[in-house]
Amino acid sequence: MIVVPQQRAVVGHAGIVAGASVRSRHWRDAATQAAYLLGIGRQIVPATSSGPLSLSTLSAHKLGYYLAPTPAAIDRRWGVRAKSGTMTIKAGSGGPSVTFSPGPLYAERGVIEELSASASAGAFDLVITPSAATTLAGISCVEVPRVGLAADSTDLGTDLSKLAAGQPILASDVANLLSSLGGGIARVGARTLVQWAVPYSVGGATSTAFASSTTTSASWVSVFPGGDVPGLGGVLSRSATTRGVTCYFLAWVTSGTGLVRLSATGSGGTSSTANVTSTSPAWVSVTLDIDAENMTVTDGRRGGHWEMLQPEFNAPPGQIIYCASVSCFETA
Amino acid sequence: MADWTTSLWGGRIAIDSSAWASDHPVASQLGRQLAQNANHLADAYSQPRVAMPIVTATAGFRAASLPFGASGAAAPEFVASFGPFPLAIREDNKPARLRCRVGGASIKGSGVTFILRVHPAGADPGDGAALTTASTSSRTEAWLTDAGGTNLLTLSSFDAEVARRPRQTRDSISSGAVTSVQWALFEASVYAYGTTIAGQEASLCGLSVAELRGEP
Repeated sequence: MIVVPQQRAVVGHAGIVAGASVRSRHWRDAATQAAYLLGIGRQIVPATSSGPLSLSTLSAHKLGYYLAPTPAAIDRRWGVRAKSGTMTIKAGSGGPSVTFSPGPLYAERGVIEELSASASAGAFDLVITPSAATTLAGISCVEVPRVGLAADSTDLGTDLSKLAAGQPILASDVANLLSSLGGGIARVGARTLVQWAVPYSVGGATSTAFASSTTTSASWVSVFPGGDVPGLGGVLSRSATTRGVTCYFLAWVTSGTGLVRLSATGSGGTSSTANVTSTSPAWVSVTLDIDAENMTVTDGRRGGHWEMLQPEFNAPPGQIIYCASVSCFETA
Repeated sequence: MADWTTSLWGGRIAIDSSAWASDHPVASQLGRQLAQNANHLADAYSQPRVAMPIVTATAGFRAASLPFGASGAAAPEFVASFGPFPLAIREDNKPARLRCRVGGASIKGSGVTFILRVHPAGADPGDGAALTTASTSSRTEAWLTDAGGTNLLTLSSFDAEVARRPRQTRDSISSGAVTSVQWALFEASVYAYGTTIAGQEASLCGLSVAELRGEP
C-alpha cells in the first residue's frame, strides 16, 4: 500500500536535466505527490443552502444531487445543518442513516459516514425524514482522505519499491504516474462548483412545494431565488483561460417543452441550453466553458471580475417548469 | 514563474502514455513533465468549500436586534454556520488561502455589516481569520464588497494545528477495518452588526468560500 500524504509538497525538478539519469528520489517525490492528489478527496457537495427551509410534513423528503466522486475515494461524510425539531437523514435509499435533534441555532448538524466505491458521476438522493417539524439550514458532503492506495489500476498508486536508486526506471514502473498525472484529469483536480437542491419528492410523491418554478415563457428566469453564485474553474492546460463544466438540472414540466440553461455572466455572457420534456423529475444537462482562474493575480479572478454562474429556465407557453436541483462540476 | 503556481509552466502537459513502451527506460524529459504536472495539479485542485447561491432578502438567514457597532461591549450577532469542511494544508503548514464573497441585505433598511469568520471546526470562533463586508442598507439582496478589498482570507499554521485531528475512516470498503487520518476541518461562521443604529435586522443571502491552493 502506498501511503497518502495528508499535506501537499512542492516537487523539485531542478536536478532533472536532459542527458542525465533522473534520480530515484525525483520519481518518488512525483509518485508521492500523485498519491496525495489521488487520495486527498474532493468536496462533492460544497456547503450549500437555499436559505432556511421549513419541513413540517413528517415524511421522507428526497433531495437530488448529481455527484462527481473521486474514483479512489471510499468514505464520504454528509453533514446536515438544521434548527430545532428532530430528523433522520439517510444517504441513498439503502444507505446509512442518523437521527438527530438540532438546537435553536442554525449551527447544529448531523453527520453520516457513507462508504461508496462509486467511481463515476451519477444521480444520488439524500433523504430527510422529520419526526418533529424542523428547519433545514444546509447540506455538505466531503470525501475523507484515503490512508493508502493500492498499486493497481483502480487506485493508481505507484509502487515506490520499483523506484529504487541504482536501477533503471522502466515505463511500466511509472505507468500509473503517467495515467494519473499525464492524462487522467478525471481522476484528480476536478472541482464541484455548485450543488443546490430542495426536496423534489415528499412522502413518495413528486412535490412542487419547494422547487423553483416559473410560468414565464418569453424570457429567462433565474432558478436560484436571488440569481447566481460565484464559480471559477481551475486551469487545466498551459495558457488556458476557460474550463469546461457540466451542469445537471433536475427539472420537469407540466406539459410541452421547457428550457434550462447555464449562463456564465462574468466572462461575457456565455450560455448553454437544453430541453426539458419530462413531466416528472428528470436530469438534463448542459456543458459550458467558464472562466478559469488567472494564477498570476492574487485572488485568481480573471479580468478582476467575479465569474458568476446563473442557472435559468423558461416555461412552455401556458405551462409551468420546475427545477429542484442544480449540480455543476468540471469535466474537461 | 506565475504569481502563485509552483509548476514550471502554469499548466498540465498532456502526456500520451501509449508512447512509452512498458519495458523501455524513461527519459529525463518525462520525469520533468511529471514533476511539474504534479505541482500544477496540486495548485489547481482548489475546492469550493461553501457555495450558497444568493436567495431573496426575506428568504435568507436572518438575525434581528443587532447591536450597534463592532466595538464596545456589544458583540456581533451570530447568523449561521457552514461546514465543517477540510482545507488543504500547504507545504509551509498553512491552510490554503480562501477567496470569499458574502451576499446580504438589511431587512429594515439601515446599515448592517457582515463578518465571515473561517475557523477550526469545534474550536473557539476567535481562532481563524475574518473578512468584514462593506456596510449595506439595501433591502434587496446583493453580493457585498469586502471592506478590506482583497476578497481573501489567510489562516495561520496555528489554525492548521488546531484543526488537524485524527478522524476515523476505513482502509477499504471490503475489509471495513477502522483506521484514522489526520484531517484539518474548518467551519465558516457569519455574524452581523448594525453600522448606524442598534436594532437592525440582517439577512445572510449567499456565501462563497473557495480555496486557492497555489503558494505565492
